[in-house]
Amino acid sequence: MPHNAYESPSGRGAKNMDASIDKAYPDVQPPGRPVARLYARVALGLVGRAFALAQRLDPDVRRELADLPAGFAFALRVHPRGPSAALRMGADGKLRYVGFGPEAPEVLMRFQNMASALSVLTFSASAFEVYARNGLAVSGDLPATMAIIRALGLVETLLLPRFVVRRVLKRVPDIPFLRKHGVRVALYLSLPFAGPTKE
Amino acid sequence: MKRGEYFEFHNPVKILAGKSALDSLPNELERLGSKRPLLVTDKGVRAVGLLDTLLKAAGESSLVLGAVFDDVPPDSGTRTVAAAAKVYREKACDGIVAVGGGSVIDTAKAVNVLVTKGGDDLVAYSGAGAITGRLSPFLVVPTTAGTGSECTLVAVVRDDERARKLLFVSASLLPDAAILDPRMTLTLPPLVTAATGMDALTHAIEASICLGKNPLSDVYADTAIRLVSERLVHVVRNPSDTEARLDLAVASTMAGIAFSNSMVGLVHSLGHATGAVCHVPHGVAMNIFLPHALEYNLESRAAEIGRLLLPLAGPEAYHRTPEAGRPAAAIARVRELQDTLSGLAKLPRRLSETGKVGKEHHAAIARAAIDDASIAYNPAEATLADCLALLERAD
Ligand SMILES: [Fe+2]
Repeated sequence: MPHNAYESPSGRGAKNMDASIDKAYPDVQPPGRPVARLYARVALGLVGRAFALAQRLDPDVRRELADLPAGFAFALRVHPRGPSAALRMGADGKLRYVGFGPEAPEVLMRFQNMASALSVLTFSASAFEVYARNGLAVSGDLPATMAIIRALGLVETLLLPRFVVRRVLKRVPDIPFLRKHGVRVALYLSLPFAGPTKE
Repeated sequence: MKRGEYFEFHNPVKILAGKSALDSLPNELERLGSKRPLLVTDKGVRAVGLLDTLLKAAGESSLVLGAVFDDVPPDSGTRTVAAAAKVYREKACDGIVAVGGGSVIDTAKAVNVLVTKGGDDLVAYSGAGAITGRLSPFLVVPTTAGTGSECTLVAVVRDDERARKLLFVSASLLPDAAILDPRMTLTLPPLVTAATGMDALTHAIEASICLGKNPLSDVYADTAIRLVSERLVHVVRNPSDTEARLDLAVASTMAGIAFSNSMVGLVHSLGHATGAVCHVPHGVAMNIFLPHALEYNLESRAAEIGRLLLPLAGPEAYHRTPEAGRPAAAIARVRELQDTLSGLAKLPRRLSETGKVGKEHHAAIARAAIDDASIAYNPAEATLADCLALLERAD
């Protein structure tokens, strides 16, 4: 019987291993964290959907991402098995949420473990601080990465109440009141119906 | 940082420092198993006789240099790296000794990637975390006291094909050892001494206030700030004081360790951008932006900036100043240092004094600054408009 939900992909034991030794000293793997995993998956899914919607609804988000070429993909992912939320720029200039996304997107923001992912996704720490302390690794083209980070800040501002945004961003971006709340209502109304686009 | 918060600290570089530190070079290479290292340097280092100093110090040893590559330009690029890697392979070298300033050290880091990992495509290794595992034996002998590159996990090299900067971030880039010998910085002219010294001070100060700061990086930053503050003006006045030169070299390395772990912020974002747009030397840009960026960060980091007064001005001045006045006093002390260096070495304090930056460049500099990786680590948010306003104040 497997001792947890995640058997190692390579299978247990090396060739020529003495069976009795393997029985007494089996491979040990840490247990899964299904609740944390589910939470991270739902939260990342929401961020992915909201990002795609915000790019259509908000001119500032659109402007930040205007330089991304068609086909460009970026992802927010928990190392090593996910969950993951990826977005891809379409030829029509529209950003689409594509679920887990490609193995190696153009820009990858990778939480080093579940703990650092949860601290950001539960808004108990700012993504900048987690990044500065190596809990979040970012790889990819720099100007594109910086633009995505700025856009992510705008998406959070559109999505979340001010007292939460104050905790996770260094400064709450100035978005005109009417636009912010208009976009927020539109986001909340469309989020439940937004699914990932199949790749 | 919040108490209990996760942080990392990494510095595997062995440091050999002192008046005769260079004499240990052959033993260090032996320890690392390198029998024919490639020496990477530039024409300037060779012209002032530093290579001879190094060879003399290594006299009576079994040292054999596989080759000396001295073609590193001030703003080194992928072609230089490929050329040095070719020499390394042709001459069957088995390690690298970098002798020089930031450009030479960064070039050597990139050469080490190519000769260990194979191929000539440096771009494939750019970005964060793309280089893993141990690279070839790598020793650094800095000839300026400023960049701290001998202890950082970063290298910046120009992409000669596409005219952009390639950034490499990986712990694998860290050298095996750094040799700090005052003989190597003795010939630095006053302006370079002043500018590189202010670069080191900026590294330590930004390490103390930026988002990645932690108790371990703080210790390195504190001592570095104290040493620069006590010694920089003295060395500019007395260039041949070996002990003081060594203090500055140690300060620069300690500041490098600090910022390699806690990273740098707004001063560097603006400095990199000003360097890219107007070719202002890095240390000069650091000197110009440091007080302005401190003032900009004052609101979010008042306590941290106030604490800088202790290493900057010493315990007496610190205790004399009431707590509420310490942040402003710390910034005033940086300005005082600037004024002295401006008088002694003509180190520019304003953008207009560089003769290279006009108001027409501000927009391009600000745009490059907000796309610089270091701006993410700055404690206060800095938008395009904020950077423009800061450039105006520094003009
Ligand atoms: Fe610097």
